[in-house]
Amino acid sequence: MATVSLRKVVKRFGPLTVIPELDLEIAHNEFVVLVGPSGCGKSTTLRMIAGLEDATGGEIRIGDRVVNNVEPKYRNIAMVFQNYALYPHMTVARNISFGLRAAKLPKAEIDKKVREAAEILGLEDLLERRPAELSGGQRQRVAMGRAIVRDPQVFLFDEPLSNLDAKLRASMRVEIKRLHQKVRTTVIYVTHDQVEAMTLADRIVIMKQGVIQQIGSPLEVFQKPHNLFVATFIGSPAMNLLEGEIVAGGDGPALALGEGMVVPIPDRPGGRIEVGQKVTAGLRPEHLVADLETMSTLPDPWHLDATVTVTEPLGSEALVMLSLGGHEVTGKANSAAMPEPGHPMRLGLDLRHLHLFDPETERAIY
Amino acid sequence: MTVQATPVDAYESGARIGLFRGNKPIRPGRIVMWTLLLMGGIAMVMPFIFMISTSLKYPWEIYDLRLIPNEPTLENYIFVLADGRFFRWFLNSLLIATLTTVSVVFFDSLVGYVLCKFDFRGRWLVFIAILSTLMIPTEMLVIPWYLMSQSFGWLDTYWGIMFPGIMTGFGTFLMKQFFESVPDDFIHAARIDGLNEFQIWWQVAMPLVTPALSALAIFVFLGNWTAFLWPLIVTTDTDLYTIPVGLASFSVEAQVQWELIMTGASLATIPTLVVFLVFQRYIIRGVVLTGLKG
Ligand SMILES: Nc1ncnc2c1ncn2[C@@H]1O[C@H](COP(=O)(O)OP(=O)(O)OP(=O)(O)O)[C@@H](O)[C@H]1O
Ligand SMILES: [Mg+2]
Repeated sequence: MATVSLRKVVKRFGPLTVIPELDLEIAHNEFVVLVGPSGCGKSTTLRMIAGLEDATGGEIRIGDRVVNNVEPKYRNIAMVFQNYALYPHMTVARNISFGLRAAKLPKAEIDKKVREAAEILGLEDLLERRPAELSGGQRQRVAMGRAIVRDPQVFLFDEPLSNLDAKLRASMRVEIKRLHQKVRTTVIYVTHDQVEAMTLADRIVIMKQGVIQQIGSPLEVFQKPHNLFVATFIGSPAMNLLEGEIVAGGDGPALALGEGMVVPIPDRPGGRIEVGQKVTAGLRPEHLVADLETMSTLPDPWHLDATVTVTEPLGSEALVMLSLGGHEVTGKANSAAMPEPGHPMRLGLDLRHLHLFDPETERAIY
Repeated sequence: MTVQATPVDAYESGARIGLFRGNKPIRPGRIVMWTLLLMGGIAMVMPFIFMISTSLKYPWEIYDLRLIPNEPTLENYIFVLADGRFFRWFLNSLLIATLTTVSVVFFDSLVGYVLCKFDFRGRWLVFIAILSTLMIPTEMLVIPWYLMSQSFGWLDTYWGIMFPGIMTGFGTFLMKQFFESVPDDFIHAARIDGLNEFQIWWQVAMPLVTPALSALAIFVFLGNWTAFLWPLIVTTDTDLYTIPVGLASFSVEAQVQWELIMTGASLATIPTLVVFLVFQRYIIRGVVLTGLKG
């Protein structure tokens, strides 16, 4: 069983505290993705699990073993680095088998493992090449091959796809997913690409300045962000944020967005809102709808007038920047019915997906 | 990546210094520069050519300063090679320069690697102490070395000739700086692959700095091959002379037989050429190694 658990893990570099205190439990065979902005401590966390950095405090367990003082090679892990770190002076075959040779495995067994890994990754024809003679995607696969032959209990990936172009990244993403289905192991994967996070993860861990902001399935963190940071970090284009105030409406509380714009707040269990409270309202671009068919499903008071400022066609759909009661917001529109900049536009707000945050604590309150 | 240039970079830098300029017009500034460089080049090569030319002359012709001898002869070479002493000095030099080079390359890169890649208390103190040895000129060290050799009984031994040079502060500094260009991820990958720290240094880090190792090897070999002052002081037994010391003794004992001295000197340049040609290849090969992305 390869569970991984971090308990009260602290990491300091001299006076700099990178991880104040981190708790994380990862289940057997789970695919967990760590995301967060640059410098938030994702790599540091991963390296502590790998044993490349010592934890300043706390406990790291892999399986039922505390590994704080265990050398990397005895931790049953394998790691794929962002820049692949393939040994340039060795052929692909030797790169893949390097660890096995260091462990003095019998030659027949090494050959068998290298062949298996090469087969899984489609590297059979490249085994005698050197890294300099490979494309980015091929290097990436060799790096994974080197990880696979170790038969690790835990795979660690540190931004493995960030050096690839968009197309290759998409196909390698699929390959990694397929690999995880084939070679069932626990995976901890660091990225700051949220598409990777959403598509690969069983659970996403969102970090900011060494502190976990939220842990949940991709859908959970997308639909129910715990705070403003998660709300704006996940989702592209980012969630629209509007400063407003709770006022008393016809039936129940309503949201005043300035310039006389007031929309009702649909009833939802668990909401903690009071009249008079200042709030930050969040609504994703896909929930600002312009096509008449969808709009007709929304109640009348959810319709508002806005002015188009800029349009960005993306092919099948278009992003529309709008001025809505003095706020700049982004919506999505069908590019067939693309509005012209400067024109007024009737807009439907899908308030079932409204988020409200306390501007002080930045926590979700609705 | 900092140091590991790709062949493309090499090409581009070649283009920048004017190797591949194609048909671009030649500016007057360039002509001046080339003329200066040419003169400098001639000034450098002339003594060398003169040395070879003199070694091919009969004694009565050596003060006739023409470059092509009237009656070229190999007699000087036959004479020098037939004299067992020269051969002996040649081997002495070869042995000492080779052992010293191997030792310097091994130990300097080991220490440089540790200073570069390991974070330990007192690291800077050690580094600065090593650097500060560079400030002391050899002439100042010769007397302490001599006294030391005397009390250890190292006078007139190979070890006595070699010991001051088996590790150098300069090489340590050079290698430390070069190891900075080896990304830590290689080391981390090797650590996960299960190598011990010595293996990581030897099997992963060293192959990545072959250009620096080659440069260092050339420096050290040439430095030791031509070393004169210390070998002269520490040896009295002619059997232990190195080439430079031996050649100098030639001039004293043979009443300045220039043609023989020049013959010896010509022969003595052969290993330096070989070393340079061999290691230069590695410098170029090392430069094209690249294992990281792009
Ligand atoms: N060896 C080190 N010494 C000092 N500070 C370090 C060291 N390694 C990392 N840090 C600091 O720790 C913080 C977190 O670094 P880390 O590499 O974990 O970030 P990250 O989340 O992986 O960022 P990125 O997305 O840019 O890779 C950064 O502020 C970094 O400067
Ligand atoms: Mg990182």
